[in-house]
Amino acid sequence: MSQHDYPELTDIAPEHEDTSTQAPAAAQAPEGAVLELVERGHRLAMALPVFAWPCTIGRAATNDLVLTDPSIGPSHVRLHRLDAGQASAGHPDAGQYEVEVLDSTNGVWHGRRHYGAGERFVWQPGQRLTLGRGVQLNLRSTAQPLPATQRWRPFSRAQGLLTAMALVLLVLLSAWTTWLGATETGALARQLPAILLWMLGGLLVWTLGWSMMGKLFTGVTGFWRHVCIASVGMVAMALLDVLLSVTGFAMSWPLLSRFASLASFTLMAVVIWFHLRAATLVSARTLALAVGGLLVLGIGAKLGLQWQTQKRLGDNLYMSTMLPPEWRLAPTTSVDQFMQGTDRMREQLQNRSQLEKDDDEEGDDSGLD
Amino acid sequence: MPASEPAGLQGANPNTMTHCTSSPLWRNGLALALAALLAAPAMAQAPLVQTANPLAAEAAVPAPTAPPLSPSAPATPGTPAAASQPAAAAEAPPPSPDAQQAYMAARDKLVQIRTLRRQTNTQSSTGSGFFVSEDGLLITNYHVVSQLALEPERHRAVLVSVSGQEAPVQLLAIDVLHDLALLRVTPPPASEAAPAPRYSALPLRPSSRPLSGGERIFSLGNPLDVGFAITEGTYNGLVQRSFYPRIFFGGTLNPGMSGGPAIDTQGRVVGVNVAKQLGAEQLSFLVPVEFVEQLLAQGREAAPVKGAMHAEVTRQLMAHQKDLVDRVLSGSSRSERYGPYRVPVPSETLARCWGDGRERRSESLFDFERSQCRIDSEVFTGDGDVGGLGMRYEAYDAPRLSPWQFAHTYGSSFANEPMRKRGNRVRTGYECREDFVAGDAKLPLRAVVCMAAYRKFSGLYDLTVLAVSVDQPRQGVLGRLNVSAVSFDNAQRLARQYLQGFSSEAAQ
Repeated sequence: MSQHDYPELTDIAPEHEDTSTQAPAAAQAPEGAVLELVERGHRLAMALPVFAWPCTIGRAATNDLVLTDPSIGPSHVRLHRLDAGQASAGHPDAGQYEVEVLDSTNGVWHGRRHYGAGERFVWQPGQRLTLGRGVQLNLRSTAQPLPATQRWRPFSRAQGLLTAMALVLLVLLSAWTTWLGATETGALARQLPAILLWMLGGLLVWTLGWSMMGKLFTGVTGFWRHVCIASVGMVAMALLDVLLSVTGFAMSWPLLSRFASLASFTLMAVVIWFHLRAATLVSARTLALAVGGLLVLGIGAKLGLQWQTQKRLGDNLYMSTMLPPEWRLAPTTSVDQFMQGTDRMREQLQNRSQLEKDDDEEGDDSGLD
Repeated sequence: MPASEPAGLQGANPNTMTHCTSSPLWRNGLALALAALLAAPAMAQAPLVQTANPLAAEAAVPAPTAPPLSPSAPATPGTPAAASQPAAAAEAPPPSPDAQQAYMAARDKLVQIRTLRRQTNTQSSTGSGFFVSEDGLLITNYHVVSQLALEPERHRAVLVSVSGQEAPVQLLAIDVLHDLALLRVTPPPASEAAPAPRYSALPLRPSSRPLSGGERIFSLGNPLDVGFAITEGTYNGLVQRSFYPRIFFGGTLNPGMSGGPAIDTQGRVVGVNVAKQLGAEQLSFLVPVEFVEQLLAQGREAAPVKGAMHAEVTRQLMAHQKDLVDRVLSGSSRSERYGPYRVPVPSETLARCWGDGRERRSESLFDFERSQCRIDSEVFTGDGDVGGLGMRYEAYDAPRLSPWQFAHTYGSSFANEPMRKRGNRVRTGYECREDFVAGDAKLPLRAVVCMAAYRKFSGLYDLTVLAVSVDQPRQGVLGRLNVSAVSFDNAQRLARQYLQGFSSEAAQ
């Protein structure tokens, strides 16, 4: 592409503001664009509407957009707009923006490609242009459709109520568990303050961590939102735990207690997903994928380690939950019937012996007893 | 069950840490019961001795570097003439009951048995032994030569006479249950020209002449590899409630003396040193000589053992467990009472029981009662002590707690039962089955039956049964049965009988 496609537009735009000859051209093609200067971390540092082309960007004061970073050349790039009328009909680049690199020291990164001085290329909308040491530029043309407005609500009354309820429930649950273990007179009064302090202190530290993360990535702390997520999450985890153990005992389903930790992990992942959503600008779907992937990895690692050391996946050998007798719904079996069920253990133990032996033999005969 | 037993000791007091301090009596009682079983393997562990005693380590060094000797000549401390002498002495009127005389008479029939690692020629355990026949048959403890029996590819054994001569020995037969082994001096290879060496042997005291209480006996051996020694003590009859007969010797035994003879004043063998009680003074145990006779009769003509003896040990353990289970199941069914509950306990002639509890204290909202019974039937195998049976009970009574609080405390006590989740060299990890169970007495229980299989003693299993009553909102009893090394069928029989043994007045 020749560098003299636009001879009448070679001058810097501000100097032509008064030239009336250019006005009709601008009126004919009113598409301007907004040049956005983006900091690392997606924060917009500056938005510059541009209606006159070409425009130059650089460190020298004569540029249309003056950047101060020392890694930027005096005149770093020149932006051209490929006029639909000017370009030959059917030109594929018509209506697009072209970057002409002027700086020879650092050049320009467009996506993953680097361009040196004298090179020209079409600036794809949505792609970032990186000049010098990480100065990022975005270009939004007026013709480009805007993404939908993101929905955002301040912390509502309903959420406040939910948070308050969750906090009250948390305090009650802590008191309940303390009371359950209080088998000496006065133990409850002695232990409860410390337990509440620890619980609320932990909640505060957790929430503050997320708030700081939110401040970093979104600019807002969202403290109460995180308090809400954390407290509701803790209540949900406690209730899930109770539900699993009560069901396990009542129905005599030991599997529930054996894999209760997996349910807790999953719930924990959901809570973290909520926190991340509130603390970052990443889309909910991406976060769900990331957290879900981490959860799968975590569970896999836990089960894998357990299998490696114990050759079993469940947490415990037997369910130890005890509830008052009237909570038992499952009927009792007779001793003979129960013992018949143990017949299977002979094969199970044979398998186990084989599994563990395979493991043993790898490390055996090393000469170290 | 050696692996789980020390843990079981902690498990016996699940509430000790939080709720009470255990009484010293309870602790001592347990320690006493445990130590007796630990004594035997501890004696076999010579490495311990070496590190503890610099003298022993020094003494061990020259042994492997000593010039190899022809097996016949030096290992013949007694001439054939001398060999006939003890027999004559036995018939003669008793010499003065003096330790010096006894020692002089027994000196040349006494040896040290060393188990050496083949690769490095270092001793891995030392014990004692003695000649019982002129053609070189020796008796020692099984636990002295267990490494030789189970890992012959890595170990060999030699005897060292009082005069310091060394000669290789072979294993002929073992009696794991009574902890005896029969050895023979390895005959010199294909030397028909030389006459077979003769050894002087100790005579055995005939069973027709039983010892009487208080009689003086002497025990000989090489304690801690320090040197041959004789200790003096008294015969105090047989140990009460011992599963296999053991002589209660009121004298001192030390590690390294295992396998040495105990002789009467006439120099006749009355028993074989086997164990001592830790934490007690002059409380030692001997294997009665009748089992030496049995083993001799069985193994005198046997060919030397080649290869590991796991199959033979398994066969003997099978007989042991059959005997144990028959005695437990046929014994008078006794029960103990905790509040409204009755729980099964082994008969008093078999088991030793200890108990403690907590009286009602003002600040505590519940009381408990605990007991522990065990049958001293554990057998040293070299792969752990097996063949024991124990029961534990914890009964809770909490009229002042809410049912939920009680269930919580009760549940944490139930959760606190130690179980082996992962396997080791000897056995696999546990497999369990659990459910709500009610026996004929209609008492609803939460029952857990767990079993683990032995790797090398195939066909033997460890059994643990947990039974927790779930009928009362503020009362409960938690029982645990531990049995090691029984057959699968016997494990099921024991578990069945155990679960059937629970009853409650409230349930009927």
